[in-house]
Amino acid sequence: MRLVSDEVRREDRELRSGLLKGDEAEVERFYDKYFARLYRYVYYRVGRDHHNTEEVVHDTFLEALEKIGRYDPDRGTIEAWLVTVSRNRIRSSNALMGRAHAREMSWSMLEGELDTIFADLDQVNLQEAALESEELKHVVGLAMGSLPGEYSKLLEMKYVLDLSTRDMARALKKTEKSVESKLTRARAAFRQVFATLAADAGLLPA
Amino acid sequence: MDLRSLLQRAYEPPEPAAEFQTALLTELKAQAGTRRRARRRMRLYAFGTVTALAASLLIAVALIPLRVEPPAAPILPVLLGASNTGQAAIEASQATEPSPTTAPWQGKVEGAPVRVLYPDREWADATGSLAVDKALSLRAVQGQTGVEIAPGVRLVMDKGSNVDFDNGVLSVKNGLVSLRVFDRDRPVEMRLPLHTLLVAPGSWLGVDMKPAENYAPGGSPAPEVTLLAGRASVKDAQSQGTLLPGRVYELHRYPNLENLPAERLGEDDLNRNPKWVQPTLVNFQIGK
Repeated sequence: MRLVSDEVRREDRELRSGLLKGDEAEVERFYDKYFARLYRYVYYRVGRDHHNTEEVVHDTFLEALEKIGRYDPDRGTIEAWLVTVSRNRIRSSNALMGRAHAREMSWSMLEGELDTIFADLDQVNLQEAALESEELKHVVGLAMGSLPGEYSKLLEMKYVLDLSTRDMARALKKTEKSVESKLTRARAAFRQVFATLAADAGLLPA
Repeated sequence: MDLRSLLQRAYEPPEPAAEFQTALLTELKAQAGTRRRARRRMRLYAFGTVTALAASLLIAVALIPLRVEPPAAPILPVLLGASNTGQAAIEASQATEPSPTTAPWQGKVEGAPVRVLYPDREWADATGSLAVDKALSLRAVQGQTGVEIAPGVRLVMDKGSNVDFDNGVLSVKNGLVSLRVFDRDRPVEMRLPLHTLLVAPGSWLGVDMKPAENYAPGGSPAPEVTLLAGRASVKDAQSQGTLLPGRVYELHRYPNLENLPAERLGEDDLNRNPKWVQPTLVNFQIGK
């Protein structure tokens, strides 16, 4: 289980309290903070279908808001809890669509404690063609969608939008050192998740 | 192959439809609004229920010059002949009409002794006790001068007392107590000025406890009640618990309920009457 900092726990408690009171501003903050993350998480788990994703995300948010009283900040972050809530919805959606789970990792491996599977991407000899393959795109998307929102956001800013660390720090209102530190952790997290997924998909040796 | 290449070439983040995002946020806000209104209704109901208890204690004790008596047996006019009809009518009337009294209230009812204190004076103890039941409600008997507070027990207005009872509203002049009774099963809503209520040990008092910031803009000290001795239960929208001896509790009330409609307070009423959210402090002490 990931350790949760006191600050994050405090923020989650405050958000929970605001949502319990029905505070609209807090609802908006809740939505802004977790929508993109949840959407991404769900999208790659329901066959990259926007319609199914919208249904699952919609139902997940409403259920989470209704049951926010059951969320316990001492047991994890709101983000993790939200993802957990979405899983049943995802399963139902996939079951409805008759979708096989062949490409979906055991969630206990993705969301729980990733152990020792680690692949240094620099040493992986992915064929050029593989970079364009739908399979790989799916795995990459799944990996990014599995990361905590903060990590995937940092990786996007750095490697997709090509922002400098300074620009990222300015946009996120953090110090460059903090951004670098988090980016390092984000990269490591992505490698772990990607390697696990790619191995499972047969793109990498297990 | 580096991470940049991998992400730039193989990562296609999904782009949610703007309409979906807007609609979802709107729906979430609507759900929050529903929750907010439900919480407010729950608080108001609990508030009304508890004020019924406090009202019954106040009325039954020394606050008003009231006399409590068991329901009178039906008085049949004694027919002594046509010439005595008028006298019989007077006698019947006198039999049902309570004796006036100007002494501080002393009454006898079932339950625990109660005493009401005011900041500047103290009333004598009741000689009896008051039945306190969280399901207690007051029933207005149209056209009569009394209110039933327990089975077989009625509060009767004394002539000349500082009390008006009219069309379901029991009010005490000088702003001491105002009580509106709707029907048997609904809670009684009342207005309380700043005062102190003592309840004897062993009695039960339901106290509605709410965070002060719900009522007082800018915040106030949290509600407190002092227990000298005895036991009481506390209920509010968020928690239930037992009041602890030695602590001081203040109960925040809505003032100014005389313009209430017959139905329970609703959110619209609160919105139209922002002064209702100004707190009125009620100190409760549980003790002997």
